[in-house]
Amino acid sequence: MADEFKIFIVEDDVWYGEVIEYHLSLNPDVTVKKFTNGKDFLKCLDEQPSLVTLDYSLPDISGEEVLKRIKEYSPETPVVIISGQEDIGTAISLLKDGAYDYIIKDDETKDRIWNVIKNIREKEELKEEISQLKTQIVQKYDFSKSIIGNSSPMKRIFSLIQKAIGSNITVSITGETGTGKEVVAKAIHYNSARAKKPFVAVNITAIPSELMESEMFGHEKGAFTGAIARRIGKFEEATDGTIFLDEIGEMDINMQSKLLRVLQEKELTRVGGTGVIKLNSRILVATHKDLAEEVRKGNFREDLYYRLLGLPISLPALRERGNDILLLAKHFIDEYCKENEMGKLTVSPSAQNKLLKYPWPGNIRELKAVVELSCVMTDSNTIDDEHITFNSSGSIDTLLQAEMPLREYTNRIVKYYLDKYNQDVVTVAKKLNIGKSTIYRMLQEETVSLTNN
Amino acid sequence: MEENLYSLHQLEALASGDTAFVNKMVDMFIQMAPESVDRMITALSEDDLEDLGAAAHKVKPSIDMMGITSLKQKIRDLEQWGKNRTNVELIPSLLDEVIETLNDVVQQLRNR
Repeated sequence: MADEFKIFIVEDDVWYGEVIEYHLSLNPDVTVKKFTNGKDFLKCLDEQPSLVTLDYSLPDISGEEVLKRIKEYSPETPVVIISGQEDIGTAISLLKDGAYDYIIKDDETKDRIWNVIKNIREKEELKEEISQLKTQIVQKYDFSKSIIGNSSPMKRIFSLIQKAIGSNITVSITGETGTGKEVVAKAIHYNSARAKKPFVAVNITAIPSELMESEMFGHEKGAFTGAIARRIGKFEEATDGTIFLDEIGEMDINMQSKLLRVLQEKELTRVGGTGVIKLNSRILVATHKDLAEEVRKGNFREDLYYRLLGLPISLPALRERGNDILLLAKHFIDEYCKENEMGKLTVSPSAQNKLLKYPWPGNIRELKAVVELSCVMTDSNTIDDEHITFNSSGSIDTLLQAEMPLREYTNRIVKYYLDKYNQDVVTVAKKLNIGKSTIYRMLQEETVSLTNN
Repeated sequence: MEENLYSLHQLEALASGDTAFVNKMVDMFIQMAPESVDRMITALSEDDLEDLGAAAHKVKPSIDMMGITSLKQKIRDLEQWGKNRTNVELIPSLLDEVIETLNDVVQQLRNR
């Protein structure tokens, strides 16, 4: 960074000020200005120094007061207090008031100031980088580009997204797996007034239920065994921004009531903490489940359901989107070719037909995988139907087409569930409504196994 | 000739060969040390021990940087005793010692 780094030295000891100035001026990027009292310095605050070193005992105004005035004027300006003596109490209270560091005048002062400068510069560079990246993300999620579709169900979705962007209402996004729920959530966030603030995505299924509360609301040091430091929760992380709760339908019923209380009070308390934190993040939720149905079954709290329903956006399955399949396929093919520096590929009419006929149980996610594979399979610049293979793991159609003995189907199903639930026999038995012993028997007969093969 | 009461080692290390800077700092010290001495004497005569402490506090970094090791602890004692009004009966003799050393240092620096 070749930018000028302007340091203001506020130091009533002329001799010492001279030493610091000399030392800092050794770096050609640094310009130094000295002040011997607080008043003169405060008059020049509008020159926006990159760093202020402040002697704590000034003749006219106390160091505390000067610090306060700087922080009022420009809270971002780093201020390093340089003091003649070590006084822990003063140091702590100044750091609390926003001082960047507290340095004692001794042999190491010079080096410590350098360290501070180095840190501040790194921080500035990071800030700049972050703001650039944020702009890039906003451009990326310009939703006319990030969401592709021309079918009438999608046109309705677009108008709903537009409404969601213009307000702060909670949005509940539903749709089968792979229909792009997170893409829609990001499009809403990055096109809303909150675009420059954090977008925090939380996948409920990815967090063990016993950790959920501290993950969401944070915890104080010592709140429970292993809480060795204070931790900020996802809601707090999303302050002024958007929190996206994916797979909300999987949330444990206890956690549901805690979430409900937080949403009602619009404030939260960290686990083990007493301070109340105002909640101002926007909430987007998504689920592939039919939440109304879950409410009827008693798996989801009705009051929470209504609180989260907000503006419902129900994403259509890919098979209901007609020619969008081809639009999307073309998009993914172009993207793949560009990333891999290949020439353009076209899709033959028979291949198009094959894509249009397939039911796409994995929706857009599956389409992307299938067309990327087809790009690899073709040897010419055309993708033909022979290059398109469906090996959808989740598709019952594909499974049925295999025409296996029933016993083999059973084995596959049990194995699938065991893999899905971390080889947890008890859970799998419950899910499939079969006895644990049935599974153990299969294990014994080695038709299925517990290893992660 | 008697042994030097100061050492320019730290300043020279900082200056890395820039003698003009060292000379400038030495000149400043020669000029400022008597001012500090005057301030401390006045403070003591007016029984303003707090100001005596403040003056000691202010001159402390330059004493350290000029390598006047014999005053390192003494100037800190003056600072603390003045600030907290402790060991009040010892302050006049301690101040005398400090002033004597400072005067010697200034003399030595002039004849450098």
